[in-house]
Amino acid sequence: MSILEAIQNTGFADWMRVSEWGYPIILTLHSIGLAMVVGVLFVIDLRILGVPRSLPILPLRQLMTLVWLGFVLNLITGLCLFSADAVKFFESPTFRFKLASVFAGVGLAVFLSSSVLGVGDKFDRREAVIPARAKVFASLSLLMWLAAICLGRYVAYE
Amino acid sequence: MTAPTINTAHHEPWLVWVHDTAYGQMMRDVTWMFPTFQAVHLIGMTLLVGVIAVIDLRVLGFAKGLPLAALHRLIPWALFGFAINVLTGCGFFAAEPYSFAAVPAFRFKMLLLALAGLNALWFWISVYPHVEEWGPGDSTPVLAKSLSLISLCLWVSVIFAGRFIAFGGTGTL
Repeated sequence: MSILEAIQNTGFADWMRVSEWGYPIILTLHSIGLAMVVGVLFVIDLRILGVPRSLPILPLRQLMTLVWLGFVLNLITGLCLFSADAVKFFESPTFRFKLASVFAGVGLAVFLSSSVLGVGDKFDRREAVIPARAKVFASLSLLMWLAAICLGRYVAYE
Repeated sequence: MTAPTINTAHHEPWLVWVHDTAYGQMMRDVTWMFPTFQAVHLIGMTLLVGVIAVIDLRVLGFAKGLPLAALHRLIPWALFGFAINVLTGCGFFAAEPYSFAAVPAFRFKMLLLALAGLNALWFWISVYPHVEEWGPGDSTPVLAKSLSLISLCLWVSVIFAGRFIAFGGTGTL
């Protein structure tokens, strides 16, 4: 028996499938986490792209706490949802592409948080302008999260 | 006395009209539309709730270095997200109006949305005129904080109710 089969045969996975409230509540928490991660990153990416210019960049660093909180929530709830149908999810190309988008999105968030937000005072004091490379990464970040949302929804219909 | 019977074949005329619109027909017939609209509905939700939550948290004292006037420049994006969700939301409703109208989670979501709208209106009337005064590091008064806290709770509840529509009997995912 493979690891994936072992996962979906656990008592917890069984509870995820049969309990009346388990799956709906976990899936709803996954939506809340999504709003935290993507909603806040949307504001940050938009600012890196220059909108709105009057918004200082350095204090945005504090918002990353919310992003990571949402990410941990979705990692946990995501693993719960995965366990309910581990073999199907693992073998689904849609699910694999979703995971790839999430990993790329997280990587970009880590990079932009340290290379732009972390030195935000430099931009806020007009001592430097945000490099074009950072703007490309911010656009890619938005794209990755939009893709992750779409692919995540399609996985449910497979 | 006979017990009142529920005539399942009879529907409110306006629901029948909604059901028969081209929009409803398309949402039922084109298989990729429903899931795609759901994805777009989630994207609209992140725009709307993301911007509102960041503003509410700043009013409550989180990330105080952010000036509120600058954050309010993001409101058009929240309204854009709301417009997307009205459009896609009407699509879901038109696809299955009889079940949506009957599901308690849907009615509850509409009630919560109305409350969130009224709360936003109150915020706009009483708090918004002062946003220019609250620059980096400034604290906001109790009324602003209360409205923001209520706003956060309402939007989280809207997400909960929305997600539960699917588990409440519409047969959607």
